[in-house]
Amino acid sequence: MRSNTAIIVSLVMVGTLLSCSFTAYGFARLNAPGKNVIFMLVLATLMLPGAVTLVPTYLMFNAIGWVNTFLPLIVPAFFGSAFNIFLLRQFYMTIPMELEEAAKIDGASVYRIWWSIMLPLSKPVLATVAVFTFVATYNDFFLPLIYLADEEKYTIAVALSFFQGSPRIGPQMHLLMAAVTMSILPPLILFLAAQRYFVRGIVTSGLKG
Amino acid sequence: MSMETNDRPVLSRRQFLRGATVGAAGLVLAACGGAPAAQAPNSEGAAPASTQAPAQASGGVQRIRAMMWLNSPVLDENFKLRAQQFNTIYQGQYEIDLQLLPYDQYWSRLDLAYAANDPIDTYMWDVQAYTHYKSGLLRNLQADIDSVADFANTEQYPLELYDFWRFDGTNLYGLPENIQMMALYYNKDIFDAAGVAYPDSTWTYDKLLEVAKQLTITEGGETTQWGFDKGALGAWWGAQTFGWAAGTAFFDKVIEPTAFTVSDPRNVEGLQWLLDTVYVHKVSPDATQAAAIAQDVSLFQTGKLAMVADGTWYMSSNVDSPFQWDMAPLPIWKDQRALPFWFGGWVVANASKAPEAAIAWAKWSATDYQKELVTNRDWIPIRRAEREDPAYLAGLPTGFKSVVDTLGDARIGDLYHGKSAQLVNEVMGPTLGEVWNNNVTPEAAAADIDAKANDLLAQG
Repeated sequence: MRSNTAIIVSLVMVGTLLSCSFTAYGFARLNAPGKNVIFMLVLATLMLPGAVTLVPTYLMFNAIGWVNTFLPLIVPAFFGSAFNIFLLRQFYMTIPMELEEAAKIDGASVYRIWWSIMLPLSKPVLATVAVFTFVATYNDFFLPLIYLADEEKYTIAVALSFFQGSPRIGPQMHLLMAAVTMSILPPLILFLAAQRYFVRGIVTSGLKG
Repeated sequence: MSMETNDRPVLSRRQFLRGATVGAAGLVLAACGGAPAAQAPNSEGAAPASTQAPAQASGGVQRIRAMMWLNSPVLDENFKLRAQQFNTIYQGQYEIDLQLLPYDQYWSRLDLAYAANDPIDTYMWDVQAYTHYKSGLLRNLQADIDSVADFANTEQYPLELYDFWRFDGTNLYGLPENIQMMALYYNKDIFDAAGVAYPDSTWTYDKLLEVAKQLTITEGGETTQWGFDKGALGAWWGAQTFGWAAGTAFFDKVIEPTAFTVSDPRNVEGLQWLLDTVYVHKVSPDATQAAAIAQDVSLFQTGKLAMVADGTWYMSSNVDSPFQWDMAPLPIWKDQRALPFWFGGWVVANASKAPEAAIAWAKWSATDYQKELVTNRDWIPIRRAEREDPAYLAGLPTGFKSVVDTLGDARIGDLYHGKSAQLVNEVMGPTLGEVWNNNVTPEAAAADIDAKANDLLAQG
C-alpha cells in the first residue's frame, strides 16, 4: 500500500506541477483569443461540487476500462486543476517582464522561457502547490476507494478504513490510532522540509489572510 | 517594473488553434489508449482490470464481483477465505472477486455501480439495500431458492422468520446465510466474587436490576465496578424490545410502516427503565463515566462491568478478555421475552451479467459453507444442523445455546422503508442519544420521534 500511495502521489505531483505551471504561464504571459474567457471558465470549475461530476466521471473511466487501475487517479492531474493554475498565475504575474524580454532577445522560445526562466524563479509557489497536492492526494480516501477494487492496489488512506469496523461491531480504535500516527509521518516530514518555500509561496501569491 | 505590457510574447490565432488541436488530439489519444495500458500484467501503475465488467470469460468461467462491508480483521479475513474456497470448488465454472469496503462507502460504491449500469453482481444485504429492492434493482430469488429442496426444510431453516424478508409478501429477494441475535453478556469473575448466581433464561429485568445493585461497588464516592450497562439496548432496535414484550412496537409494521408509535406508554416505560439504571439506581455509568473507564476497549472488556446487553457478534470481541465471561438470554419484561434478530444474506443484482454464478455463491453460502461457520464461529449459521452442531457449540460460551433457543421470541430488528436511513439516522438515533444523555425525558423524546417520523412518512 505504501508503494501504491507513493506511485500515485508522486505521479500526481509531477502531473500537477507540469500542467498547472504551464497553463498558468499561458494565462499570465501569453495573449490568445478568448484567453480571459477561458480563464474565467477554468475558475468557474472551482464551483462545481465533486458530487456532481462523480457519476459522469466514473461512467467515463468505466467505459474506457480504467476502473481498478491507477489511471483515473493519476491522469487527470496532467490536465491541470483550477486552484493551482490560479495560484501559479498570480505568482507569475509578479515576475518582472524584463527577464522574459531579455530571454526573448537572446532567442529563447516561449517554452524555453517557461522552463528556464519562470520555473526556476517559481520555486516557492511550486513548493506550495507540491505540498497542497501531496496532502490532498495522500489523504484522498474516496476516489481510490471508488476506482480501485483490488485490495493490493489500495492506498494508505483506504487501508486506514480497514480498522473502522462496522456500525454494530465498532472500530478497532487502538489499531486505528496507531495506523493514523504512522500515516501522518510522510506529510509531516514533507511539510517540515518544504516549510520555508511553502510559507513564502503562500505570502508571495497573495493567499495569506 | 510594469507587469502589464504589450511586449509579451504573442501567440497568433493560427498557433493557438494548432495548439488547441494538438491538445484535443492528445486528450482523445490518452483516453483511448488507456484500456490497453490497463491490461498490462503485474504493473503496479496500471494493473490488469481483473475485476472489470463481470462478463463471461472466453473459457466459460463466469466471473462475478461480490461486495461485503468491513467488520473486523478476523471476520474480514474469513470472508476473503470464503471467496478463495468458492473459487477453488468452482474452478473453471465460476470465479468471484470479493471486495470489502467500509460500511458507509459500501453503499456509495454500490449506488455508483448501479448508476454506471455495471452493478456489483452480489452483495450482503442490510437495510439500505431495501431502496435497491424498491427501485427494482434486486433479483427475485424465490425461483432459485425453490429449486433447492433443502431450503424448504423447516427443520433446517427458520422459514417462519423468512417472512420478514418477503418484501412483496410472497418472494425472497435475499438468501439468508447467517443469523444474529441479542444476548446478555456477564462477567463470571464478578459474579463469583460476589457469590451471586449467574443469569439464566428465567431472569426478568427486575431481577437484573436487583443483581446489578448488588454488583455495583462504590468506594469513596466513586464507582469502581458497575452492575449493568444497556449496551446495544440503547439502539432503537434494542430499546424497542421493551415495547415488543409489552405488546406494542415503535412503528406499526416492519415493511413499509405507516405510523410511528414510540410515544405509546409501554414504549416509554422501557426507555425510562433503561434511563433509570443510570440516573436513579446508579448501577450503570453515564456516557462520561463510561468514557473515563474505557478508551481502547469496550466497557465490558475492562472487567469493571458485570453485565451488558449486546449482539451475538460481540462474542468475537470478548474472546481475549482477561476474565471469565458467558452469555444468557435477554431477560423477561412484563412476563414476555422479546429480542431482535437479523439475517445476513446475499442479494443479486437484476442486471448482473452472470446471475448464475452470483446465485451459486448465495446458495453455497447458505448450504455447504455453513460447515465453515461452525469452524470460524464468526456468524451464527442459518442451518440448524450447524447451529446446533456439538462441535460448534463446544467452542462457544456455555450460555450460547440458551440464547439461540430464544429465537422463537425474536423479531427482525430492522425497518424497511425508502426513508429508513433518515428515520434511523436523523430521527430515532439522535433523539434517543439525547435521552441517554439525560437531556430530554423519554416522554418528550418519544413524542418528538413520532412527530418527525410520521411527518417523514407522510411525505411519501
